[in-house]
Amino acid sequence: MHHQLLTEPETIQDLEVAAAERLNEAKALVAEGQATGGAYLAGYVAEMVLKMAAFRVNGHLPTTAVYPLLAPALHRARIAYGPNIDYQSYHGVLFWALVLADDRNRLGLATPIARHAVNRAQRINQIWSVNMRYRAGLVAQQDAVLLLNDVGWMHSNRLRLWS
Amino acid sequence: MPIRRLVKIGEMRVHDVEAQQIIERLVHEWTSSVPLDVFGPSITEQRDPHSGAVHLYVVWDRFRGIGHQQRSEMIMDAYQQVAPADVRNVTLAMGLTAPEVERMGLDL
Repeated sequence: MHHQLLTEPETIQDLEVAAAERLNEAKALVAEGQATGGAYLAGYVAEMVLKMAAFRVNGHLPTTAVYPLLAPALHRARIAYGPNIDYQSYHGVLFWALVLADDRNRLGLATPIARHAVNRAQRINQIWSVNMRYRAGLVAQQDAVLLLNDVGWMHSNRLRLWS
Repeated sequence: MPIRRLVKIGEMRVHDVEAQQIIERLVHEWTSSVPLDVFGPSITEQRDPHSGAVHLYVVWDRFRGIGHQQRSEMIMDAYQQVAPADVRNVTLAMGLTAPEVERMGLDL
């Protein structure tokens, strides 16, 4: 299994499955009062859902590998939002929400859903970052619950985000 | 004792100078009607007539040993110089070696 993970590139549908699994794990941790661990996993759910949406809205199939889609997204975002956009090595939740909003706008799709996603991503961004993995006790229980609420919204609305 | 350090192929990155050379070569191939040599990159631009989305495929054995992520970044850096007005339409940039194309069964 480990070998398979190292040699096979991640696809969009891998993100779909992993997002559901991470969300359940995050909910279980937060319910147990393990706020930082739960929040850490929940942030990745938001990242994965927004990535999926940004890729699917551009017509990519679930079986498409993720790696050739990342650099084009960054270049589009730099044009839309400036060269210094914080993409957090392609993990940024707000980055992906902004990419999605710009792509939906460019494709002539309705943008209110993307605005909701950006607003929630901004809130998530205040609590979550990929860099929190080496820190302990960062997230209060009430913040983890709020974060989980925003992440749950993204997961529940993932089809709307790309359609 | 000699130490052998292994790096996963997918994560291997070339240093900035070599990356810049690769980008410059890509730009040359993209903009010149005369390839420098027969070992240069083969570039395919695929445009969706409905959405306008552009997919870029570059087949080049010089990519061997370089991680896929960095290949994609170099292709985008080159395309940024070649067609800046079109960068917003690119949604896929994939760099492959000839054996990888064959393994994947792609028609490039």
